Parts: sequence; structure tokens; C-alpha cells
Amino acid sequence: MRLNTILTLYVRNLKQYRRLPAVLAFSFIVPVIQYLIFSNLFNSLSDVPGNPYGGYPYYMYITPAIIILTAIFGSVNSSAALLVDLNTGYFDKLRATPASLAPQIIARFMSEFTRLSLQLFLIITVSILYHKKVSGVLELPEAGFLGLITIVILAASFGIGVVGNLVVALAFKTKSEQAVQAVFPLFFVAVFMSTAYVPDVLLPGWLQSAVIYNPSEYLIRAVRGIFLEGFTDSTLDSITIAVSCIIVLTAITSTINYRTIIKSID
Amino acid sequence: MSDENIVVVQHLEKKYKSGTHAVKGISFNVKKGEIFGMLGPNGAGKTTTLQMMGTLLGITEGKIKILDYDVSAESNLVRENIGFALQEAGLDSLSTVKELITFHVKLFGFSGADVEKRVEQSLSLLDLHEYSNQMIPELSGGTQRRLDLAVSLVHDPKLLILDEPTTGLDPAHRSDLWSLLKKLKSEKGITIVMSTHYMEEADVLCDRLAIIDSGEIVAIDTPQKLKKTIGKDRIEFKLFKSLSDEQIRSMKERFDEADVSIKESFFTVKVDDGEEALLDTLKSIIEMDVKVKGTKVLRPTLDDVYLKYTGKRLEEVQ
Ligand SMILES: Nc1ncnc2c1ncn2[C@@H]1O[C@H](COP(=O)(O)OP(=O)(O)OP(=O)(O)O)[C@@H](O)[C@H]1O
Ligand SMILES: [Mg+2]
Repeated sequence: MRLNTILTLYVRNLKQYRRLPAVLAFSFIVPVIQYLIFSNLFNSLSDVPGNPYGGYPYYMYITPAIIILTAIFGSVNSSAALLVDLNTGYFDKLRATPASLAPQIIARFMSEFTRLSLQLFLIITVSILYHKKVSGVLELPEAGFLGLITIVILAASFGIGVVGNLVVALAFKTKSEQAVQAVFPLFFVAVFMSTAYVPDVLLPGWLQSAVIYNPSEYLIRAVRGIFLEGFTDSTLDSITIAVSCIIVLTAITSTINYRTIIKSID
Repeated sequence: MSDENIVVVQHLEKKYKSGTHAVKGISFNVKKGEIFGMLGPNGAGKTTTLQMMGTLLGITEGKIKILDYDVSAESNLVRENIGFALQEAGLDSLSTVKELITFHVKLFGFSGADVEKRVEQSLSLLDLHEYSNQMIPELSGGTQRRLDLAVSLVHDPKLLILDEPTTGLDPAHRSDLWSLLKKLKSEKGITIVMSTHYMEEADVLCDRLAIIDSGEIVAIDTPQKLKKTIGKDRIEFKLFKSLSDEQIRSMKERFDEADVSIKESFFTVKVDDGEEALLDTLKSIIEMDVKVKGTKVLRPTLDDVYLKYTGKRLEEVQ
């Protein structure tokens, strides 16, 4: 397996996105719209007594949520381009060339990671511009540019590693775009069943105790820590937990994915 | 293995997970510079065999060596040295002709000025210049097939595997492709293994043929020798009127009784070489006072061979 082969495939995948504008737009537009609607609609949530995040405007509180929503939306689309190749039969054609199997999959994950990172930077830019519009100040969050990069890497790793692997496995199993899109609401709910939009203490009782079983909750906490508070000790703890969570889940999902891919080739 | 053999297949078997025993222990060799054909009915196992050769499918039992590399153990080396056009020409639907060829050239490790040069050669070789900037889904099926072949050839493979390369081509493009394959063979010494449904293709193009039925090779030889197994040539005479009993008797005296068959106003005689024997035979018949309306030399065709070994007729599309 040559690095050069993977790079050639990677570049080809990136060029492919030019012709898949829907994939790029879809995973981006929904979070932006949600961001703009929610931040206006639920603005008064910040004033609710007992809200530990009452010191921040609501749009800032939900920015991490929107970032992760983008990561998840974007990752559900990470099999779209792959499915094009699978369904035309081109994927198999390439398997008989040096692109073979593993380089194709690796390059696919690399390009999806790149695409998703760019989308994440874009949504962050939107939030910074929105902040400027509201407050009149053009500024980076507490943790600075390094913080933003950390957020993007965390969110993209979660998205591609956890969601992406499952979605790609599903693509190999079903070869159907619809099947992949059908799992979409599942991840959507996962984000809602967390403190992404509403702080812990304001959630209904049952959910307060349930959020700890939601993996995306740990990601939210890390990203929110970086975004609102900067690299404090408690943020670093959250990052450690989030990274462990991502590693464990990715190990599981990539094993599932690997098995499914091998099985799909008789 | 002898260095003459580009492909060595030994006791090859494929059982799909579904339980289908698609290939049941076949063995054959393909020599350097040969065009080797696989002829067989639908579901015979042609695609399965070719896909195992092309590293696309796992081998259940037996082994394949290509250019002395073991297809299972050294699949990467095999992939670098073969070109494979699958039965369904599936190409990147999101790129143009030129982009696709360029990508394939780079995939085989070429860079710099080499890339442009090879892309140009490839476009010329398959006469694709006029489509250079078209999106692939806009191309006709036949043009896509040619493009598929073009990208399979960008790296000058030593072995070309083609699964029904001319299915879906019109007769003009089909014979163009035949000339191209012959040219590749004679000028570049490329070895070709292909499957086909077309008798004429197998006959004029292939140096050797394997007839495959239900996962087994039922006959393997040159097209000429396969046809010989069917028997002699036949000369058929159409007569103005049926033969009298006396005429029949003298016919059977003149020719070997076993070689003669008479049916209404048709008289047929088997000979070793129909064209050579035609005049002599005709003379003998006229001397017997038989009036001949017309005559035809019938030689065994691959269709007859196919029928003999598989019990089925080839479906001739054209
Ligand atoms: N992926 C698969 N899984 C299970 N069975 C398969 C698979 N592919 C092919 N088969 C079966 O294996 C047998 C051989 O099929 P194969 O495609 O090799 O035939 P073929 O000679 O290429 O036929 P055709 O002329 O129609 O292309 C058939 O019975 C087919 O149904
Ligand atoms: Mg086939």
C-alpha cells in the first residue's frame, strides 16, 4: 500500500465534491438555519433563574451544539460520494488497480475528514460573525485559534470516526442512499438528548440522569468548555474524557465497518 | 511454471457464501501473447473466474498465478501488472473523460510530463479525443466501454482481462475493437484473457478457447481444432428433383455410405476439405446424370461445437 496511491485517491475525492454541491450544502445549511432560529427563539433561556450559563447569551451557549450538529449531519453524508462509486461499480473497477480496497477506504475517510473540517470552520466563522453582529466586537473565543482547531479536530474525529464508520458500513451493506439517510434522525435525537441546547439543571429529571449514557454529551462538554471557558483544568478533563470516548467508540465502529466491508466482498 | 505462461490456473474453485458452486476445479494456462477466450452460457462461471484472476474475488480452492505472482498472496503486484475491464463498465460518474484517464495514469505512479503524454496516447488509442471534456454519464454505452478499456490500458499492462468487451457495441465498433486487440497483441505483446458470447468473436479473435459450462471447462483448444472435433465438412447439393433409387444406389457406391445423406431434393456428402473436394464431387454427380440446382459447402462452426459440449445454442445477437 503506497502513500502515493492514497494521496492520488484523496485528491480525486476532493475534486469530486465540486460535482456534489448538494452534499456540501445540505450538511451545512440545516445547522446554520437552526443556529439562527434557535438563538432568536430561545434567547430568554439565558435569563431563567438557576441557569449556570446565564452569564452567556444563548446563541453562545448553543454554538458548540451547532458545531456538533454540523459534524453529525456532515458525517451522515460521508457515504454519499462513496455510494456513487459503489453503485456505478467503479469501486470494484478500482479494486483491480493499485487503489485496491484499503487505500480506497483510507482515502475516503481522509477526504471526508477534510470536507467536514472545512464545514466546521465555516460554521464557526458564521458564529463569530453573528457574535460581531450582536455585540459589535469581532473576536475569537477564549481559547483562541488553537481552541478552534481543537474543537474542529474533536468534532470531526467524532463525526467521521463514530458516525462515519457506521454510515459507511451501512452503505456497504445496503448500497442504498435512502437506508443511510434513514438513520439520520437517530443521531439527530442523540444531540437533543444532551445538554447541547439546555443546561443540565434545566433538563427534565429523567434526562438529567440519562445524559451520561449519551456519548455525544461528552463531546459537547469538551467543546463547550473550550468555546466558553478556554483551556481550563476542567476543560482539559472534559477533553480527555471526550478523546477516550472517541477512541473507544471508533474502535468499535471501525471493527463493525471492517467486518461489513470484508463480508460484502464474497 | 514455464516462463512462457502468463496465466496458470490450477484446480480453481469458487463457492459463494450463498452456496453457489460457480467454478468447479478448472485448470488452464495462457501463454504470452495469446488471446484466450472463454465461451459459455449465462451463469457458466466466466465472470467469477475472471474476477478471481483480477483479485476481486477470494479463491475458495486451488490457485492462480499471473506473471508468476500468486494472485492471493501477491495481489498488489498482480494489480500493478494487469488491466481489467469488468462486465458492467462502471466508471466515475462525477468526472469527465480526460479527468478519469488522468486519474488512472496517476494511480499507476506516473507523474510530471509522463501524465500528459499517456493521457494523449490513451485518448488517441481509443479514438476518444472528441469526448475529452464530456461528463461520463453523458456518453453512450459503447463509448463508455471504450473509455473503460482506455483506462485499463494506461499503464501498459502485461495482461488484459476483459469480461465481454464487445457486448453493447455496434458492429462497426466491435470490429474496431477486434482490430485494436489484435494490434495490442502484435505490437505490444499483450496477453489477453476474455469472455464472450459471440461466436464470430471467439472464432476470429481468439487463439485458444475454453468452453465453460456449469463451472467446468468442457473443451479447450484452438477454434480450428475444436471445430474439427465436430467432424468433417459437408457439401450440400440442391437438386432439381429427388433422386431415383438407382441414383441413390450409385451415389452410395461412389461415396462412402456413411458420408452420404439424402433428404428430398437435397443430397449431402461429408468430405475432409469441402472447398477442395467440391469440384471433383460435383463432377461425379453430374456424371451420374443428376441435375444440380445449387451447391453449398458447410463447415462445422463454433456454434456446432458449443452445442455439442453444452447442449445449448449460442445466442447470436447480430
Ligand atoms: N456475488 C455472487 N453471489 C452469489 N452467487 C453468485 C454471485 N455472482 C455470481 N453468482 C452465481 O455464480 C454463477 C456463475 O456466475 P457468473 O457471473 O460467473 O457467470 P457468467 O458465466 O459470467 O455469466 P454471464 O454470461 O451471464 O455473464 C451463477 O450461478 C451466478 O448466479
Ligand atoms: Mg459474466
